[in-house]
Amino acid sequence: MIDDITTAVITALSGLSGLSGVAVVAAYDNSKNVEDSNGKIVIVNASSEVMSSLANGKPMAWRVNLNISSETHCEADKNGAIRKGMSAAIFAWMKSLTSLTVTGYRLDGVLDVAEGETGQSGENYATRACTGTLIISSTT
Amino acid sequence: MTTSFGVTSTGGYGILQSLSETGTPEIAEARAATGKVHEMKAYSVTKEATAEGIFDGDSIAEPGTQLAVGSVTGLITNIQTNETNTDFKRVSVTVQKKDTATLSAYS
Repeated sequence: MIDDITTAVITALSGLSGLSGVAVVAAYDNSKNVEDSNGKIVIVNASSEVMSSLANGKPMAWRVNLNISSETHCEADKNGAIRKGMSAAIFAWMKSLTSLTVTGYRLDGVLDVAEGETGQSGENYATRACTGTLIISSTT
Repeated sequence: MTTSFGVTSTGGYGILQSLSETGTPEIAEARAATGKVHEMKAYSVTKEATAEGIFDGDSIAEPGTQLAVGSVTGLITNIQTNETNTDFKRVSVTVQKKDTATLSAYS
């Protein structure tokens, strides 16, 4: 389930005008990194925890914790404007999110959308995370 | 050894999260001159059941309506819905029946 959610998030983010020309990848995807993505990349990391269960104890809804990092090259983005734009686009998307297409699951709500501090990533890159929690229910 | 996991009883509303049943007798006591209880007589028993569920679109009855919750078929003495901005809407209902009373719904 979590990989399906990640894929849906990547698909949605990839279509944002604010992320035009930016590679959006899953955290587990090592086929592309910031160095071969024109110095800017968005990394989607997700995990889930059970929120509610059926009468028999089997889970029916999850909190999906998203951590979406915007990473840019410090030289190419000296004042951080590119990274700020990427992060703002992600924040706005998450804040207004009302549906996500994932077979067998439904988006019921969005909680705790927030932006993190800017931090260093390796020697040459800076990153800022946008975090949020999706409430995902099984439809089967 | 027979154990039971989860909510196996039925009744109430929504996706059941918990269901509890209680039985409470009313007991008359006769005390001796010393104050010690000499005799106890149970003369009435109230059975009550409460179920809490995640609301799933069920049509919810009015208070005073007859409803079965678990093994208790009684009149609804309390019904409550809760909505918060961090959880699913929940509905809790309590029914009660005393002895073998005939149940007449509120009208």
